[in-house]
Amino acid sequence: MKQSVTLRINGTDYELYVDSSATLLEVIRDELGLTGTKAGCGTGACGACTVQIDGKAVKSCLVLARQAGEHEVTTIEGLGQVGHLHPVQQAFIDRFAVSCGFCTPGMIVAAAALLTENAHPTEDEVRHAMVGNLCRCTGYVTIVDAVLAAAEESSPQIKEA
Amino acid sequence: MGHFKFLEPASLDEACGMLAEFSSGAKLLAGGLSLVPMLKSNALAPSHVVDIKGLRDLSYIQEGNDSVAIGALTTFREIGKSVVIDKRFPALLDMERNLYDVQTRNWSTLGGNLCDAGRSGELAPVLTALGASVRLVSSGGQREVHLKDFHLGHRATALRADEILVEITIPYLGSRRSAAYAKESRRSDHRAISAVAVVVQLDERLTTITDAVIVLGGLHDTPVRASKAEQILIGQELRATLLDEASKAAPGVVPVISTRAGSADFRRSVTAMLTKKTLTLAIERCRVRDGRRG
Repeated sequence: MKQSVTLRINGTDYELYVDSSATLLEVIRDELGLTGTKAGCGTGACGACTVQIDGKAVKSCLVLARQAGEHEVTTIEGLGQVGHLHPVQQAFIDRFAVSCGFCTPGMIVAAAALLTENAHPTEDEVRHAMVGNLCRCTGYVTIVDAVLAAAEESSPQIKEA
Repeated sequence: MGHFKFLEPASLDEACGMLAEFSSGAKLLAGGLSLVPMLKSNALAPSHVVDIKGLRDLSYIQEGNDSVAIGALTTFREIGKSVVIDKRFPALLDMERNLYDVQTRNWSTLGGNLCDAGRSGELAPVLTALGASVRLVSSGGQREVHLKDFHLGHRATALRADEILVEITIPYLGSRRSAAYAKESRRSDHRAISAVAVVVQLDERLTTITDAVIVLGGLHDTPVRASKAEQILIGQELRATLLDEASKAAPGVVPVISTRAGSADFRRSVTAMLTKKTLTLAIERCRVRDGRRG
């Protein structure tokens, strides 16, 4: 049954009237048209649906939308835009970390969350923090390089972003 | 997913009232990482979902005089970042560090995980080895249940339809008593195919095992005590082959499940390896802790 809920996505409040069973991923993509966050597996395995809830990486395909009501949700669109990219986004471009691009938003959102918590992770820490994000194209090497490069090049910006 | 009404109680009392009113038609929602897949696949079709994740009062880690009390809605990541847990129960950090992924640990709650009671659950073996208990609350009152009596089978617990698990209490380990945890899982889905939690106590000279608790997870419907292996250790001086003997005996205690994720034979050999690894680590922790205080 439909119930009303207010969600705060990328700093904006949205008054919504959605089914009680709607997941946060469905609402982000279908109600709000923010299609940067991807629907990959629907079972919480692939991480393509990763968003940040209060700055922490969470898989939105298994979160009922209504549960996000009291929280700040950040999607890939909220991290950076063309002309004002998040340092991790820039690093993914610079380091050729994008192949088909499907895992990329989830990867970037997870990496950005890591870097706000740990501005100078080791390679092991990056891999550990991103074990929940799967990529079928790249073999992960360029992705890990990009995250490490973003950490090295721009820690102050990451704290702000 | 089926159709249900989403309820957001503002307090624990209100939540208990909702469960009492809607009884088995209502399902509690914490992190939802166990419930939501079941709703999506229509394995469950409740009339009401009672969302308690917003009850911030149920999220805490409190150091008491003789135990730590953890609110049921504490997330795994909060445990992982806790200085108190690091000091008192590093075995819980052994478990948290490699549990699924950080996205799951950021959102999933300890209480929800215990109530899910899946056989590959990793929290239950650690808490059982640590001698933890849980507090269950309903409109009619409350009760404490030891972890070992809480799990009744795969996805079956002592929790009644009108009860909410609100707190986990873990008694402090005494001197020269330490715990450790390790697991092996499939690379693809991180589910434990074998999980071993041990507690070891040494004598004053740190050369003889005076007590041992070995809990095995992932092998059977519930966590099980490897009592034969424990008996091999208790009262024995630490000699070269002692841990090997105990580790080999550990998995023999129950019929071990055999699935595509891991055959019974594979799980048994992994369990033996993990038992030796955790016993070694727990013994080392006894020595280091005692050295630090001494």
